[in-house]
Amino acid sequence: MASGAVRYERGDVGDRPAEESAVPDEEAATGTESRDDTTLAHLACAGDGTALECLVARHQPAVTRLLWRFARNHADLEDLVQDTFLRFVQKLDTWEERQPLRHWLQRIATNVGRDYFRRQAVRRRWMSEPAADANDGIPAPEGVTPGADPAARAAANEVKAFLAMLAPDDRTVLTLRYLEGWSLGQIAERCGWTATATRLRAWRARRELRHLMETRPLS
Amino acid sequence: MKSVDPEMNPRWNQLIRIAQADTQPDVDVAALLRRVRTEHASLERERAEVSRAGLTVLAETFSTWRVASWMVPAVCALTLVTVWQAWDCWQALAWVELAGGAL
Repeated sequence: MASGAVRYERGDVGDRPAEESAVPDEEAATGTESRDDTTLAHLACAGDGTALECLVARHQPAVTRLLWRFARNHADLEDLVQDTFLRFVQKLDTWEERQPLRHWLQRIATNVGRDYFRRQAVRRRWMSEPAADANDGIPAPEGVTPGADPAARAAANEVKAFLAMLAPDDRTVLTLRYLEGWSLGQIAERCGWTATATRLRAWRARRELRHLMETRPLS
Repeated sequence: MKSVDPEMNPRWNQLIRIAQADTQPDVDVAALLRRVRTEHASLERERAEVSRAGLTVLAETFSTWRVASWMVPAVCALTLVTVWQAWDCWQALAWVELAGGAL
């Protein structure tokens, strides 16, 4: 594991000052921040809260960015990020050192995102009438937040609305493929599927999406 | 990023390229760290309780009266058998027989 672990410098903690200030103060004194993921994970497992907080602060921007591809609005994003890190804390002692902590966290975040899609699918099944809009029962999209590009936000909302009409796992594959730009191999690895199953799922999801576009054209 | 899918509508590919530039809103990192800290502390407490409970079970199993009631006779019996076997082997040694059967 030690050889496979990714070493991060301070600049990776986050590119926004607000995130850097969230890193615990004691770190500066102990040098916790400069340690690699493996060392911090061992310290956190041994009960060191500062090491754990450092890991969370370090990986939070990347996890948030990934989960934003799944979330429809800010409130949901906050919940997903929190869920991911709570699972991370609960399962940290089961982490196998041979895979980088960053990949393991991405896997947890992807599972949290998939659960979110499944919950929406269940809610939609119970709530919507047969003739209702396919996006009924899923959260309202986020408007333009400070710092966001309005055109990009509008495009992302439209893409997410289309993908929301697919089955949860199909939606996961295409969300990661199109919005996050992951390869099918990466998706298979992070979702715990075989390469063949992932390829098949992606093919089926794309076919379904093309069919949906025929009935509901893009704006 | 792999954004262009030749099997899809060109308008869709264009939309994807624009959508990929969407940036996430800020999350409340301080609240997240507080929540993580609370969860970690509660897990640590739980683990400590489980470990204490394990020690209690161990202490009950090997409490004084139990040691007195079955461990002492067991140790005595084991010692007796060992001494008897050792004496037996000693007698069987050839040089002991040569020396007259016993020392």
